[in-house]
Amino acid sequence: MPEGQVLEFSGVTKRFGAVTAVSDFSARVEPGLVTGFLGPNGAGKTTSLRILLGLVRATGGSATIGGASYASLSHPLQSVGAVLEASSFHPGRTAANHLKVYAQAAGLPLARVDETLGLVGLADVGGRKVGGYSLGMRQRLGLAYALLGDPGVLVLDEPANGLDPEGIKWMRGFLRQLAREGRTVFVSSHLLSEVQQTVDSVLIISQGRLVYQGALEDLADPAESATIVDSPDRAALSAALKDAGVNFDLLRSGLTVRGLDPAAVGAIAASAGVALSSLQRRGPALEEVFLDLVSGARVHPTAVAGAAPAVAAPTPAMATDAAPPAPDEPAASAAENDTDAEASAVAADLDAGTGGSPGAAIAVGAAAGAAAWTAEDDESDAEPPVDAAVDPSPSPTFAVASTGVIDIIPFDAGDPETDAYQDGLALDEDPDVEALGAIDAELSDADADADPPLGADADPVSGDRPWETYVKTEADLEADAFFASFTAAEAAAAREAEDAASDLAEKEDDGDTRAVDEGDESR
Amino acid sequence: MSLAHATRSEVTKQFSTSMWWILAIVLVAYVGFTAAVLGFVFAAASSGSLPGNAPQIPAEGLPAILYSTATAVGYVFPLLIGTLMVTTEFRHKTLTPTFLATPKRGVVLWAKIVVGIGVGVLFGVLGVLSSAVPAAGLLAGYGLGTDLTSADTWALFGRMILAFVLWVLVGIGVGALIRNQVGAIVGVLVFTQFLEPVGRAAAAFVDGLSDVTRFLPGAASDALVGASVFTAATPGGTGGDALEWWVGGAVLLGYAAVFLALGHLFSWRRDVT
Repeated sequence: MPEGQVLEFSGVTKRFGAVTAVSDFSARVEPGLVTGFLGPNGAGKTTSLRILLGLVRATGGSATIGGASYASLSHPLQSVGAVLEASSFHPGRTAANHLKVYAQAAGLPLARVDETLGLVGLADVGGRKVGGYSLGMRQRLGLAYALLGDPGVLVLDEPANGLDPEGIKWMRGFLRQLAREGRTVFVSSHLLSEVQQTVDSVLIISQGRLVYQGALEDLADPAESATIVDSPDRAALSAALKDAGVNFDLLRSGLTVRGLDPAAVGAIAASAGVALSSLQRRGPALEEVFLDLVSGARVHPTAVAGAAPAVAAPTPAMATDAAPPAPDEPAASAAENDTDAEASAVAADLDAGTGGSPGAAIAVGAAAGAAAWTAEDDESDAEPPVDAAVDPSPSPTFAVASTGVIDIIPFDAGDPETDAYQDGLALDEDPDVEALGAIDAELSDADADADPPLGADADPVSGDRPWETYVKTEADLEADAFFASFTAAEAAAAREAEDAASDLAEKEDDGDTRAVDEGDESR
Repeated sequence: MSLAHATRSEVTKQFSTSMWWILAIVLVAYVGFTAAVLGFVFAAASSGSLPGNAPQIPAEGLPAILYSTATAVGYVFPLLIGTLMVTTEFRHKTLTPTFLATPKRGVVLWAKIVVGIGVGVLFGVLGVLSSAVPAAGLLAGYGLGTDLTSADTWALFGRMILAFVLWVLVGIGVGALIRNQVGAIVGVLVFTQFLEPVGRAAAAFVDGLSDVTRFLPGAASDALVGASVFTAATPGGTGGDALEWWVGGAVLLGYAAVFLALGHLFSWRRDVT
């Protein structure tokens, strides 16, 4: 049985001319696990894999297999099997001959050709020319090539491309089996959902940088999960929770309670005699965390060696969209943070495409808003105390969690959660963040100026429709315009949204900013 | 050890697609047809069988000129097959699995050279047969000497096969240097079928130009073989201008070496994406 090897990237950097494809990428891939290598298209996955396999020369750093570079392996195909693309075949050569060519090059017995063809289910068509193969068959042939030498390490670049659902299922089982045998399995993909059921551990790369390394289940902070509870009689439920001393936030879909599991919340409701219409636990959606990491909206400590304590122990509040700058590069952080709004704009475009409703676009736009909100809060930190800044009128402050759950931070200044949150921010004394705060605050102001406050009601936005209140970004306006062009109804919705923005603008004058992420809508 | 594996792999690679026998068939048909037509015309003219006042061609040296048709007009085939041996890998991205199986890229190139020598011999034999058989048949038919019993003729055949081998190596070098298959094929055809013939024809009329053109690969190849319908048909193209046969061979080998070295340095070692 071949032994799995540790794959190690240390400070791998690759520049193609002026483009940096991979930047100081360091990671470790352990044997016996299926490790996913995730990142959007163009993030540098393929380049990293090709550097590992000696096909591309790194500009800096090194990638090793069991401590040795690929070129120095004495029996490369017997050590590492790689599937890099579905088109590395001469169309006029039969599948069996294709494998024979490389079995000979590796000094393998030719019996392996038929064995591996059988392994991947191509035994009957091995004598056919590859030119007549479907994409799925080519993927299988690529895998057969990787398995020729019965290697301890398997490196697969987007292996599910071109496979039908049955093939994908087969591939998943196959990879799991290989990992169980103690091999190292390293699979890249641009879709989290594609590997979610297969991988034990993930590396996430974005723009050539590692943004996460660790187990998939650790990707989402369990502290970010919440219990959602609802009752036909919300007033009674609210009262019951209040009586029990439980903090909760009011949402459109119900009340969200942090720090209590559904059983405890259900017990409180039962003891108060409140009938529940729903009770569920909601964790943060992995996909969302993934997208946040990729867009830079979230920074995970595993990606930053020697992270400052504030980052190393992120509070739920810290994990919101305000990206804490990586401590090891303060100079870059201001510039990076500047792009927050842009990243959100991209996200807005994306989600608008999938959501297909103005609500969705509005919802995502809030990501940028959240940054603005946090920045403003930073300012408050620096200058007047937050307590003073909060309008005494009963208008709640909205916070955004990446769970997509909207938290309404209670206006009670003594609230422990709020305090914890502010503590979290207080830890973050990075001047760059404050600089960012100033910039974003300016942006917000500019928005406010652009929408002169109407004589709109200053009533607090009703708690169950918080998505109507948000900081408008250019992306929102664009998205609004985009959807407005479709139907009158949607145009009306956009107008409504703009009105809401005006409301907000007025409230900003009170020094009270809100940003709302309506994640529910985008799902 | 590794080179032996890589060479075995290259042999399978070379003969598991249809390219080699398609090129071989075209080579035999083209060279055979040309040799037959030239053999008919020259033999008929030499024996005075043609009607009218056709100029009398001396029968002496005629067999060598006819037999060398394979290299004179057919050298593009070994050149092409050498080029294709490399550019096919770029075109179909098979360089990725090739370099994964044999990470030492120099070994892969050496294996291609070894296989290229074998392919050159194979194509050379086919070329010699396809030009010598119809030419000798026609010469004999017109009652002229075939010179097949002469050692010089067999030495000529040997030099033709050597020329084929060197052309394959030049092709491998060209293919390693010019990764684009279409670009390499077009370049090879334009140079061998147009640029060099025009240059060599011009050299007949411009003083001193032949000092340069005799070092062109086609001219060097003809010098190596020692006979060519091209030099025979070009007034003043024969005689003292041509290189010694071994110098011609060295020049052709030099072309192969330079192209291979440049290809290895500037293209073969590049990133495979």
